[in-house]
Amino acid sequence: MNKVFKALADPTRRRVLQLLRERPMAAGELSDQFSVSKPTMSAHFSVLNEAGLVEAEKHGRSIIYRLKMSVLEEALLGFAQTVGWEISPDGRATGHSASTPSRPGHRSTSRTERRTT
Amino acid sequence: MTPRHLSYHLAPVLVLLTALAAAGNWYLRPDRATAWAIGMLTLPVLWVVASLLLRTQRRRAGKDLPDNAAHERRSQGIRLGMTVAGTIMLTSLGAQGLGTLGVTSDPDLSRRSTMIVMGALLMFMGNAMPKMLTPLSVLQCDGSRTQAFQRLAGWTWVGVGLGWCLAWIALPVHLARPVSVAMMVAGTGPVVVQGIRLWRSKGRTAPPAQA
Repeated sequence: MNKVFKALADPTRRRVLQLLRERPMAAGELSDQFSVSKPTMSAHFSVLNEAGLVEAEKHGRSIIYRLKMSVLEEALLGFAQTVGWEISPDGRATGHSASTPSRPGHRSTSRTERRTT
Repeated sequence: MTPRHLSYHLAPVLVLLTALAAAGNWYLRPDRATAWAIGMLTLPVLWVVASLLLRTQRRRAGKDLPDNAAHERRSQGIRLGMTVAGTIMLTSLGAQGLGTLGVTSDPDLSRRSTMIVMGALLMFMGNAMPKMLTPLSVLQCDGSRTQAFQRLAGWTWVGVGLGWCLAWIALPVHLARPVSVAMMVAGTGPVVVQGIRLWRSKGRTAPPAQA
């Protein structure tokens, strides 16, 4: 369950899950929705995969991601999105008023990206 | 090695406890020997029959790796079924035993507790439903429609299960039964309709988006 909380604590990963709620999507198509580098997105996909919230399938030369969330996990996603749940650099969970979901092309900063830049 | 599902360990324990509970009730109330005998033997017999069928099927299919994976899934399915059935039967037998021993004077305890456990199991299974994914390569329906259906079914079963539990906890028995049945029908209807629509769309699979 710790992996699930960690996965849901990042706004970029939450946005990925919201996009996958509509339909399965290829890794490249998902990455195009965010203004972060492909390695950063790969790290996000890896966290989501480890938490069991998405399933990756090879389809030809691309990887297709599908949502794999239980009802409880989806309810947690809704809660995290509403309170703007994030893990601060010192490891504490913080919340603020509901954050707007990232627009296509909107720069979404995450711990992973802050670490790599 | 793939970690084993909880039902792998829980199933034999529940089957054994169910048999013991039935034996205990038989000792306390020998006038209902037939009912207790059925309670003792049902699960072990079902498990043996299912396992034999599975073994026969496996021998015919050979020992190819894909068939080994399918065998594991079916074996896990049997254990999960035993866990669910064992939980329900143990709850019922346990409540009946408590009534016979005079621990509780509620004549409806057995029925009420069994129904509450069934509601809880419905919630548990509904919660897991959206995670039961079929590989895209063998999926015969559109991936997004299948996903939407599984999510609808999952949320519906969790809602119905919760309502079922609350009805059997809070309402008198003569009201709990019709209310819980009405909730089940109201919840099942839309799921069945969507399921039929999904089945009718079989073969019309939209190709997944490429990178």
